[in-house]
Amino acid sequence: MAKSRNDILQGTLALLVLKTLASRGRMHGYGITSHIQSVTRELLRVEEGSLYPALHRMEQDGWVRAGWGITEKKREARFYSLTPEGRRQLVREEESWARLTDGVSRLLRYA
Amino acid sequence: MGWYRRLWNLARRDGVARDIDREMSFHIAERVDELVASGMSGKEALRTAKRQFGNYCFERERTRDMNIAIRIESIAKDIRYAARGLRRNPGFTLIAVTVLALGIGANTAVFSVVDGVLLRALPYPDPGRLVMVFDSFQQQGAERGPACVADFLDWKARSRSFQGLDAVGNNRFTLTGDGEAEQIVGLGVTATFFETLGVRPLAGRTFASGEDQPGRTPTVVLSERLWRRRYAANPGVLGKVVALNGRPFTVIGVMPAGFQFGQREVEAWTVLTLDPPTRRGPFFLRGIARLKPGVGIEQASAGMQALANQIQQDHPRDYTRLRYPVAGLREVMVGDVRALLWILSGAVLLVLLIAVSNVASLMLARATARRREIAIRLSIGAGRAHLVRQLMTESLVLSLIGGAVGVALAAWGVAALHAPRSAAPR
Repeated sequence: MAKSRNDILQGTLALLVLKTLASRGRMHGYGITSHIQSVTRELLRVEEGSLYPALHRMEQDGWVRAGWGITEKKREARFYSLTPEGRRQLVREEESWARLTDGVSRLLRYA
Repeated sequence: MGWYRRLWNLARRDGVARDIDREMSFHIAERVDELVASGMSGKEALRTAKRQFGNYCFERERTRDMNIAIRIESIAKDIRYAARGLRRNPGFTLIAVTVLALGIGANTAVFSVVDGVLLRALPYPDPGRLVMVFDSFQQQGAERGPACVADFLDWKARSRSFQGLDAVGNNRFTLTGDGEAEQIVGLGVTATFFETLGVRPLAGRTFASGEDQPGRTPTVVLSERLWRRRYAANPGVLGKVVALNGRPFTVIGVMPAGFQFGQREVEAWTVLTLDPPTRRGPFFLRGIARLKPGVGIEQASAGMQALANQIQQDHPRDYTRLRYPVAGLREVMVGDVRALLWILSGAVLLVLLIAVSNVASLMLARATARRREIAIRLSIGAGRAHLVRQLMTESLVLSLIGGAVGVALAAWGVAALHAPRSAAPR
């Protein structure tokens, strides 16, 4: 599959999902993709093919909790919400993201 | 993520797959709405949405299978590693396996005999009160020999220790009448035999008291096995006349499958008709009796001894040193093997303990020798848990091999233990 520019950097997907759930509360998968796209003004696009595996993995790791619910449009959807462990993981991921960007930008400035 | 979680996923894979389907169709429906809103045709929108979803399901399947494959593979790797380690030390392996095999094999063999002979209860109610009565006199030479009809009639008339007293004598029959002729093992019994044992027939009835008097129509009770084999478990066989050794017998009942007395092969019980004896002999009967409540074997033995003394006085030419020994049914069936078996099982248990401690010290010695290897593996990043798992796998492989060889030894050992007891009833 050809990589396009707005592919999400490996490993940051979890951070984006956790942050979204932390700020918006309970959401379904589709809502998460729309939220990420609209907030980043379409700079970032989440592939469905990676979002759901990531969500399932996060569920198994105990970062998110999932359950079935009904949307405003009366459709059945699986809603995800953050667990306390997920909240702690978000802090860790934010820190490591900050370190990464800090490191990368230093390199870009001085190298 | 715990491996049990993965296995759990595998186990409820249908549920997971259904959840995924539902979640996927929701996502696609939402996407279609959005695309239609932006001006795409419904069909086009659906195709695009589906394409975007890609091969997610396929991917997911593969991930899950891989998770499990990795786990299984790492176990397989541990086993391979253990096998390699054991191959590298053939001396150690050979000794450990042999010692374990001997210990396990001896125990398995002896226990399977102990279980069959000592632990399974006799299949009769209140079996502790069942005894057998024998003849023993100089001319016959046996400690527990058969009695003659006159002896049995004397016991019946003059003993006071028994609630029920019957006689049994082996018979071999040729069974004919509907179907091929076949040889079966039969047991002749007096009429109240089944009452004395306290067992009921599966179908029909057993002998009525008085049915053993001379001149009555001969009757036969079949074993469940014979009934099933020859008559296809047909209840219509009751009342039918079959020929045993060419004489007609009416089938009156069928005994349940678990019922057995004496030889396991007995498939038909007929009434022993006790013609009034004209002399003391021939000797072919064994007495089976149920002690009256509150009467012990010693008391019964004393009573029978007094009776024997009287008979001896009345018939000095027939008997010398006549005794009527009484013995518990269980003891008769198990015989002198009983004490031998307990000693044997104690001995093999000790052998197993010795085997285990030997293998343990061998392993310990090996562990000391392997400290270097373990230190190196720890320092290059092996997890403690993984090392422990590996060592456990090694022990497990060793004990499985030992166990397998042991069970093979046991199969051979059971045959060996049975061989000299072929005459014993069990």
